Amino acid sequence: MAKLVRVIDMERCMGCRACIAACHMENHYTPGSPWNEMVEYENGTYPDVRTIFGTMACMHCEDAPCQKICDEINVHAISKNEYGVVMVDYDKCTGCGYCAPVCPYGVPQLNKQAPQSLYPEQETPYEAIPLAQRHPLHQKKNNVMEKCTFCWHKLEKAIIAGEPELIGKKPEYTPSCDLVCPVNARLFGDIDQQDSEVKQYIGKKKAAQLKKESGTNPQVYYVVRGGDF
Amino acid sequence: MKWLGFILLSCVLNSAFAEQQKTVDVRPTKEIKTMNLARIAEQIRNGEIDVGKDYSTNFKTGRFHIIHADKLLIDCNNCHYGKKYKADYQLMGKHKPMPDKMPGRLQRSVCLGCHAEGGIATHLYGRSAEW
Repeated sequence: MAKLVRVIDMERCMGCRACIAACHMENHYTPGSPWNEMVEYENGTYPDVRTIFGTMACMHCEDAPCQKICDEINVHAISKNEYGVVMVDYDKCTGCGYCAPVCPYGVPQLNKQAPQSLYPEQETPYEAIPLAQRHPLHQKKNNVMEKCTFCWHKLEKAIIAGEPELIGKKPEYTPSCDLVCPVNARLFGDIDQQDSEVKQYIGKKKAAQLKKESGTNPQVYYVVRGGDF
Repeated sequence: MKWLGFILLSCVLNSAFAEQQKTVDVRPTKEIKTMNLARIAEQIRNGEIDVGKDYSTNFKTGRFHIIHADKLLIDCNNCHYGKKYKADYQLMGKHKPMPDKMPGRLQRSVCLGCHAEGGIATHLYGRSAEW
């Protein structure tokens, strides 16, 4: 079975935020509850100073604490599928907010705002689609938890078409944020696939997971510094 | 001179003994505190202690704060400290404005103390992965 992972190369990322814009366009999150966010900070001492850029979204942990706590309180709104994608069932979510403090990465966003139009003057073609006709992951409600889905609505198409091996290779089967990076700082694919690009990149650049001390085994890897170059 | 030497020696021995006493005293207190927390946690899980049915993080009525602050008597500053996160802290939403009544930013590493594998509370986190 596939294990989908993402690699973000913070050595290459230049902070353009194209991935964030792409996520916003694709998933229509409300601005107060972002699904993808830029974390930037300065490193070094003058005059040897540089800014480090890196984006954060759901890490789709193998041992997701959000799912554990949700099951613990018998809500069962958060699930992890066979491809390793952690998803929220908006119909089951009670908006209790337990998942937010337990996530070491601060990912779950309890959306208390009504969905807003991206451009207040006119609706985008996607916004014109009635809510009931959208993908279940885009049928958002107020006061439920939201987060990145690895663009499951796109990955699902590959599985339905019987081409799961093309996930991360064909644009229509790849998360939007990973498609738009102008400096190729993002990669997405199946780590269990033989000779997969993500697997090689993780090994070559010594990419690591963030906050390993939490023991949640996230499926997003970061090239923080160095590597074998 | 002999008397002065004797007094000095007794002072040194006294302070060493006092130090030893301190270390002996501190350990059991910590263990007792942890045991008490574990016992209360178990009673909450078994339903012997009523913590309400409001599964929320609401400060007054939500179980989250009732369990941690009211029943386990964990001080607010144990989890909420500092007005800002460190610049290189990898956390989404770290620049969101802090609610007025919140005593400080929530530091998530604190949770690992009890909620990691082998801890006294519900296991939410696994063992720390090796580098």
